[in-house]
Amino acid sequence: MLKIEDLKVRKGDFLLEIPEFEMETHEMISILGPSGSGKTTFLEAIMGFLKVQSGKIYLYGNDITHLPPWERNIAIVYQSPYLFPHLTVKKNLLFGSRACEMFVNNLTEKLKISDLLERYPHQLSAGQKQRISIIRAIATRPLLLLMDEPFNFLDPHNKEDLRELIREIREFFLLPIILVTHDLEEAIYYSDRIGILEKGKLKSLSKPYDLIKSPPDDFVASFLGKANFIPVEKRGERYFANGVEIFLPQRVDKESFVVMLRPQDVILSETEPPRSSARNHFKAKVLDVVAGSKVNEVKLEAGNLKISAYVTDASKDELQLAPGKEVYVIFKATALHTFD
Amino acid sequence: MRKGFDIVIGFLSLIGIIFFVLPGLYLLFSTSPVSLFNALKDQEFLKAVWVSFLSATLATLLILLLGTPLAYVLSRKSTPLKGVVENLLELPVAIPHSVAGVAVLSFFGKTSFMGKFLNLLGLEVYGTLTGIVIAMAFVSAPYFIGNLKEGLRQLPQEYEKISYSLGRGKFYTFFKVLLPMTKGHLLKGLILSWGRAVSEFGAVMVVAFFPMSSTVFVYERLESMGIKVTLPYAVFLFLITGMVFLILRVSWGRYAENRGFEG
Repeated sequence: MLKIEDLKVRKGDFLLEIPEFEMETHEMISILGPSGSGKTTFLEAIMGFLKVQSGKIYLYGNDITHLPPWERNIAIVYQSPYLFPHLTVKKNLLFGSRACEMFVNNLTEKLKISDLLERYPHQLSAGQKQRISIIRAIATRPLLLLMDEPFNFLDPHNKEDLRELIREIREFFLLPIILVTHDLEEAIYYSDRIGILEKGKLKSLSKPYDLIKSPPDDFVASFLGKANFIPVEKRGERYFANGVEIFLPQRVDKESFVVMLRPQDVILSETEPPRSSARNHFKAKVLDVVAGSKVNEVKLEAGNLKISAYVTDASKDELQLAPGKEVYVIFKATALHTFD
Repeated sequence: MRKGFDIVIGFLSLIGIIFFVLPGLYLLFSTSPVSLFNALKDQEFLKAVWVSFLSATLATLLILLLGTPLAYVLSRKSTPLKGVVENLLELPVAIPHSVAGVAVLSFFGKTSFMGKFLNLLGLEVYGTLTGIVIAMAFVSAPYFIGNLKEGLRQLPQEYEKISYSLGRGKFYTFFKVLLPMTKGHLLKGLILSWGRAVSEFGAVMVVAFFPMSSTVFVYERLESMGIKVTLPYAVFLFLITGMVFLILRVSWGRYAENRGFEG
């Protein structure tokens, strides 16, 4: 669907290099990277906002490398909604050259925004604005949708709403989407594949499971820092995380996938726990204890599975946590987040 | 201490009002309604007012036509010459207006290259309405260009990009996104330019004594007949230009108030 070959794009002193990138129809890819890594530049190069130094971009087999943005049929959504303030919601939705009244009417009914049509952007909430901006992009019937951290300025409730909207859009329109984000959790939640961008270079493009199972380098691993992202394989009706059997809150119909476990949800115990509602417990070895400003992070290893847990100073002293010590790791099945 | 500050500020403000506001108001009350009415019957004066309003309006249209693309280029492109061009464009604000008139006259005059070009189009600058329009446009264009440029600069470029991504080309985006979204700045620039043009004296006087514009008319009456005879004309001009300017200002203010920019 979208194919990039040896692309080089310069923006001031910054050089973006995409040696190879290929995307399938209906696929959703997240591009992950810290700020300044060239995520927006990547999208703007695909859009045609930046002059290409060398390389080629193909969309459904057509060379679009030197096509002006308005002839590419690719839509983009930014962090801010950028609704045209002098136009009503309806006129915003009809702004695109390929947007037609019938399609927009259908869309607004399906996505339940009919009551907002006659309002002006300043009469909408932040969440509604971003919702409209996404629908405006869809209304022009693009071949590909690009999203530049579209949830950045939204509160959790609105984020949830928009996640639902994007799920619906993918379901209704089977639209390929590239999402740029600095949030690994978001990337895993949405994507069929995740690309890592570092200092303008696309480093890897792999399925969330593969990325988590064997992160390409320390840089990628650093992204995994704050939460435990655990690669899980399904064998029959049982689930294994790097060889350790774990229990999930619900059935997952995938061969391999990623779950997330927050370090504050992990309990450490010196003795084997009695029967309790915590379904997961196994023995692990302390690798390191890192003192933080509020809590200590304990890094543990069970077989090949690495897990982080947060403990207070008091717990650390009481359990005498130090490298080499063996403890039981305990967490509830419901503490595992399955991204489904 | 605070009290002392208040007194100083209050006192200076009062003097400020005496200097900057009272002369205008004083002018209003320095003539009788009868002589004001007589001024209105003076055909020569009415013709001068017509010349002023017509040429100021034409000058503003000329500025709109040529200044809009210029403001866009200056707000968007960054070329090495941009700073130089920007400064040169603002120069007419500072240079003496009689000098501006001389500049217009020498550049567009009969013997110059541009003058010969204008001649081919059947236009002449010295002593014509065309000359007045060009002189007015020259001195008031910076107000329009500066305002529109500022408006365009404040507008995030993402709006243009969004428009392109929705399949709209540059012309459509310019007229349907950029201009409507900078309408406030555009209108303010037009009003200021018109106000500046209609009140221009120095440059107009140098380029064309005739056809006589209202500012030249007032000067001519003052020179030949003294202040007493001139006052009613001056008051009338003060009233009418002041009123037009105020109406434009107020309606612009309303407009700007009703439309806030939102991301």
